[in-house]
Amino acid sequence: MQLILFAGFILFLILLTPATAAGTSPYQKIVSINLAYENGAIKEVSSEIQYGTAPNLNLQSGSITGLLLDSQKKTIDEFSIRDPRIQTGTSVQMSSGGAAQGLAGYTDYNPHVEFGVIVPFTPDLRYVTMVDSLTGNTLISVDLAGPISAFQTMYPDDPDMKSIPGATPAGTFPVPWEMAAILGIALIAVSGAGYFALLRRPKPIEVMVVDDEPALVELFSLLLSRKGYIPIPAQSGKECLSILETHKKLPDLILLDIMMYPMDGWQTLERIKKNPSWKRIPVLMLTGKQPTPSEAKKYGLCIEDYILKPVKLQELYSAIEYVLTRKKFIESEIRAAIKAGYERDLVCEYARLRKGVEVEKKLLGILRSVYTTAESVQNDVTRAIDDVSAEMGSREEKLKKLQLQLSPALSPKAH
Amino acid sequence: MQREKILRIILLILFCCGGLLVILSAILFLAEQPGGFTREQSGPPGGKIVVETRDIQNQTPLTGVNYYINGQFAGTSSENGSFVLSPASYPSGTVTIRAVKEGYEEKTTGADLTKMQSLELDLQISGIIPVLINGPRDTEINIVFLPSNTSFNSSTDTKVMLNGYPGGRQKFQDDVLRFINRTFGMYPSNLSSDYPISGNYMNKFNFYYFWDDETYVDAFNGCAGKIPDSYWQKVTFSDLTIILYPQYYGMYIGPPGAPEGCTNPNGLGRVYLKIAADEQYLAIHEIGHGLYGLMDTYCGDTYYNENDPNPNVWTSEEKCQAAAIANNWNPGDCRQVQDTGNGCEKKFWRWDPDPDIMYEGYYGTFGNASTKRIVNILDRISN
Repeated sequence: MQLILFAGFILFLILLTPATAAGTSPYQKIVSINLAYENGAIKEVSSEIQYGTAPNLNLQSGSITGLLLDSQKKTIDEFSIRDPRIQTGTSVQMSSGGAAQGLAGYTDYNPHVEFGVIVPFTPDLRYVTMVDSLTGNTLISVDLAGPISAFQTMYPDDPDMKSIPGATPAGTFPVPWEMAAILGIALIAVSGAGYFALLRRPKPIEVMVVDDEPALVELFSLLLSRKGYIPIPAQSGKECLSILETHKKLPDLILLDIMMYPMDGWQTLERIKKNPSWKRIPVLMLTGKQPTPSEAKKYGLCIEDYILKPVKLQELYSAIEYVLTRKKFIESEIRAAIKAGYERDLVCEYARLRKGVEVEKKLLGILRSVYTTAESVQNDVTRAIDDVSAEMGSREEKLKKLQLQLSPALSPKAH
Repeated sequence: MQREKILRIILLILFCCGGLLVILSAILFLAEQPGGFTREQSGPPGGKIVVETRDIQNQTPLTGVNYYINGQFAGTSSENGSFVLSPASYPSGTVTIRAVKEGYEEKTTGADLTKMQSLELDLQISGIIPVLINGPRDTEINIVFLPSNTSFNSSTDTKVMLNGYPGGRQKFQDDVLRFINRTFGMYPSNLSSDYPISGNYMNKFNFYYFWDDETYVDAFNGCAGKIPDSYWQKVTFSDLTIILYPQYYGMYIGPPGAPEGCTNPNGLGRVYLKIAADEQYLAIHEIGHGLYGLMDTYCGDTYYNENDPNPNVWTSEEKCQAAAIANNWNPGDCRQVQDTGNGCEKKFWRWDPDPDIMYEGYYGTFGNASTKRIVNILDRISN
């Protein structure tokens, strides 16, 4: 019990000490505002924060109410003053006999007068507003942001200045380093992720359309755009080659007409396949001309498909899609085979035959359908077709052997 | 394609902005650290700066001077008046040094610590001289007296220029003490007993006078005189400043003669009045205006206002009577502010009985209304 009493006494002393030692804190600050009445309105002349003691706020009362407001414009404290324009003088009136006979008044009204307001400064103080007590009209509102900033610049380590929310010392960067760092990292992350997503996005397929009929070029370009492809129009074989030379990015596929002058589609194809930079570009022949056995024999391994005009829209789309898919598939098989350690020449031969045999089969089908005659009638055309068929057959055999050889590395879908 | 290009450019710009912000944050972070970007300071030998503070008049070293660097307490001067400052603690190099000692005007100066080995500060004795101190300034009613170097001769309507305050500082101090006793010291004898004042009411006051051998007020520059700005810079805590001039010569016979006493509201912390040092009752009357906001109750060329709360004049007889009833006063004692002798009449009513010092000025007491107001104001001070 004695211990509790003793502890309570010590606590009392501890609590009492700050109160008794209060005195006048060296950190006490005031806001000193110089004002002036001009033409019936109050204007701010100057305002500053300085160390010092303010007068009592609650002694005076008058027709002007002063409000001390925080940054949210909530009232912290208030005061009242009399109209500073009116000075009242007094003198004792004397009779002619020298006896005092009451007071004589003396009123001095000065419409243009300077006066001052000194209030205590606290860290939450932001505005000093003066209001007409009778009407409620605001006479003036003084924003202390500037004086606070100026004081912080001079006395940055003052305990009150450190605790002021939102006030930025003059001459310093308004953004703390933490905010700048977070914002910077966030921007880098977002932009980096966006850029990465953009890179990973499937690039639109660029399809070159080569035809000497402008209307057809325009039509195919429009149809390709609708499907999300980017058309590159060319109205001749020469223009096609010129575009390939100058374009930064090579097209993903070429739709090539045959019947063009002076350079026809086959000649254009030869030039494309001779150029090491262009030879891997898939070329679909899109033509109204039926193939000949000699053309099939000569160019069958060089093209991706042979599409006869007029062509249905869906057939064209499907052909393009199939070519691109097959290309990707064969490329993945090549990578797998090379990775498995097979010789590059062997793998490339497989790739060439893989596509070529398929195209030749289609060409053969077209040839047979175009040049159908009675089985009993053999002519040059049918003999040529048979030659093509025989050659294709031997390549097919070779392809099967290669598939067998490469089967451990090829995907399960290989056939 | 075009859209993708634009998107790439935007993302690149954002990426670069992010990079710049990260670099900026690094710069800001380093700048905040001790030593930050500053190179090794080519500071003073030994890395210390000695600050010596002296009395400006006699150049004697001052002990017990508290130093605040950039607003933060840093230490106190030793017996030989010196204080040692370590520049390494202030990497920016440029600091604000504030020296504070009781009885002296505090001084603030900027200093570049990289370019000095010592600093001398001279402190001026404060012109604020305590007379009667009963508590800290921020909890007391602070009255400060100022000397005037002018007076007025009403017989010739001329200002009388004096050589300072006649009799000098000692005479002024004596006049101040006597003035305090004959005015503030008169309560409760001149107050209504219906509103008792606490016996230790004088403990609510601090009295000072200002004297620096050069600051005098011309009490007859305008109605209440003109106080120099330098005074208001130094005296920020005054609830009422009283300009004392020695004596008013002659008899006031009306305008354009200067009044004997005058109160200037002048804002908050800057209220002041002027009065002759030898005027007792008129001084009590003027203090009634300056400190308590009482209105004149005589009829004349003066200012009237229903001075709520606890007014001593009302704008109608009904309001006066209502206040009287509410306070258990006789409502029949309400009367209009008027002087039938000279035909003066105001639309204000008074209650306090005569001789009301706010009516008479040269004698009288404070009635119920005035006393209630005075006591209410004094009660706002807790001592």
